[in-house]
Amino acid sequence: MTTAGFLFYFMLDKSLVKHIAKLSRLTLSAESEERMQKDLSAILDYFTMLDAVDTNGIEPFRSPVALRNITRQDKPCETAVQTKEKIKSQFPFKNRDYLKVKEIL
Amino acid sequence: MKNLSIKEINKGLANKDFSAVEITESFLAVIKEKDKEINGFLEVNERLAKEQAVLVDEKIKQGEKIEILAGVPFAVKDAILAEGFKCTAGSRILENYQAPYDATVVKKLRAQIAIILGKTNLDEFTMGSSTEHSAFKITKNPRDLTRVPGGSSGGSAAAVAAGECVFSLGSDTGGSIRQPASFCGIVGLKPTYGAVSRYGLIAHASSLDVIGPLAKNVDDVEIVFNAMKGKDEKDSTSSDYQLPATNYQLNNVIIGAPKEYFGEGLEKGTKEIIEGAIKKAERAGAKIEEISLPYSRYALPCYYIISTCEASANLARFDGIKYGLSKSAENLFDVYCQSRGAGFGKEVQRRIMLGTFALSSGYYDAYYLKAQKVRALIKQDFDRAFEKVNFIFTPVSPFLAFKVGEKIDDPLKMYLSDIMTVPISLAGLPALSLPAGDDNGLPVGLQIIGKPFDEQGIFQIAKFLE
Repeated sequence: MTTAGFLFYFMLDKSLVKHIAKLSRLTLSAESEERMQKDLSAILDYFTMLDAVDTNGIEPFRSPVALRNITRQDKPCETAVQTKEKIKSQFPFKNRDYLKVKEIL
Repeated sequence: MKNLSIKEINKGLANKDFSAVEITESFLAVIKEKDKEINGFLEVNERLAKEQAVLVDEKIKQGEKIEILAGVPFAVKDAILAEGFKCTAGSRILENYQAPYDATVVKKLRAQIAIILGKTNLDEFTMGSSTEHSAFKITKNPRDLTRVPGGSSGGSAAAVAAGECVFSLGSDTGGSIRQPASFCGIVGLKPTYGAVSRYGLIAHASSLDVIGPLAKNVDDVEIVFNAMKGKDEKDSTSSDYQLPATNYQLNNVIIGAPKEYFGEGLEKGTKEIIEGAIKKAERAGAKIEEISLPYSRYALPCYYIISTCEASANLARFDGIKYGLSKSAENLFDVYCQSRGAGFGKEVQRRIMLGTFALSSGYYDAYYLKAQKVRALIKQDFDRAFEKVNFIFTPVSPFLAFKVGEKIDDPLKMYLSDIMTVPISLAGLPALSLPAGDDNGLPVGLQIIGKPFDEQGIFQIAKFLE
């Protein structure tokens, strides 16, 4: 758990592993869950190394290239017919030219 | 023919000493002979390769001038799209995925009619340091078949080292070009972040990913890098930025040796070889300065927080809906979970879980934001060092190529392979892995780190030490 932005060691409990798996959209077997609990706890423990670094007043470094909201013109661009066909032919489920998905609501 | 450099091939073709078809066939023959035990390739397309070679020979026959890479056979890491091939990223989830278009780097090389022989093996979604995390096969180190070639661009490095292609393309997020180049005894360049377009590279961690070349010598790496670099509208982080031309000689440079990279955890044999390389530079007139990069010791946890956070977001696109493996299920949510549960391997699932957790409500500041602040300090160390020195020399890896299976069950042990390469990735700097000698018959790579966009300087210095 965290307090005031500091990390300290904890063993992830099973219900938290299940919760993260759900957020990650992953179905895990019981065996994988067990393994994940052990591995993630060890790795998160290793991450606590950063606690030792004083980062007060330091600006976060997000990317080596400082960019903001690069947009292109809102115009359709030409795509080769064969590219379109290749993309469409790989839809797992389709209805004619349309990608078919399960109902959402 | 397998030892010819790019310039030698170009000259030989122009002089009609041999044809592009002959060159291509000779490399395809090496693949047939050797790849059964090396397992560097996931897919080879002889027909496509020969068709391209015929085009080159036609041009020569017509008396047309050919480009420097025309007729030069190469291989592409299977995380980079090339039309006519699958692009699996080493994953079951993309096992049958056909690349619908060319990555920008592939397009540029194909425009010169360089010959793509095939796609090379990698750790799934470029996540790993041994290529053992591929869903399909385990690539062996050509220098010792009981050992890993490094990773994640292990197939690309092994293919070059085994003489199966002249050069190859890899990608480097935290060391994935440099470390396999070091393990296999070849040259590999991680360019400056932004120097080469990533359009068509399957994204791992967007603030770190770069594409770069691997080859047998510095000159070949330089030629391929120059052919690929530059601004691409399709990757807004790419840039045409160039430093003023330099003329570095060993007797007019200052080389920094950071003491933190020569301490605990570094194998003795590796240490001696890298110190030997530094001595060699000093004898040739280089000024050596001991420097300090104190925050580099935090680079590994910093890297694994940032890269897993970004990966968890990037890999959200593999949802079983648009392409790739799709499991049918009752509802949409289950289609996602089951497709991803069945399609992703253990290491990829681990990293998605780590990143998802670190970005989840209540943890963002403690992990991702904290890591980005530490990243700023790591970068600052390098900025300060480069006020005093022109280049920084370190080992690429703290140890030699390890045995197949040695680290596969312990993720943290595997992560430690990257300890000397990730600080450079976090800082966005260019770095070259150059063979510096052998320890017990296994190659050791020297890491030459330069200022942003000083790849040309790195090449100049590396050629003196080659």
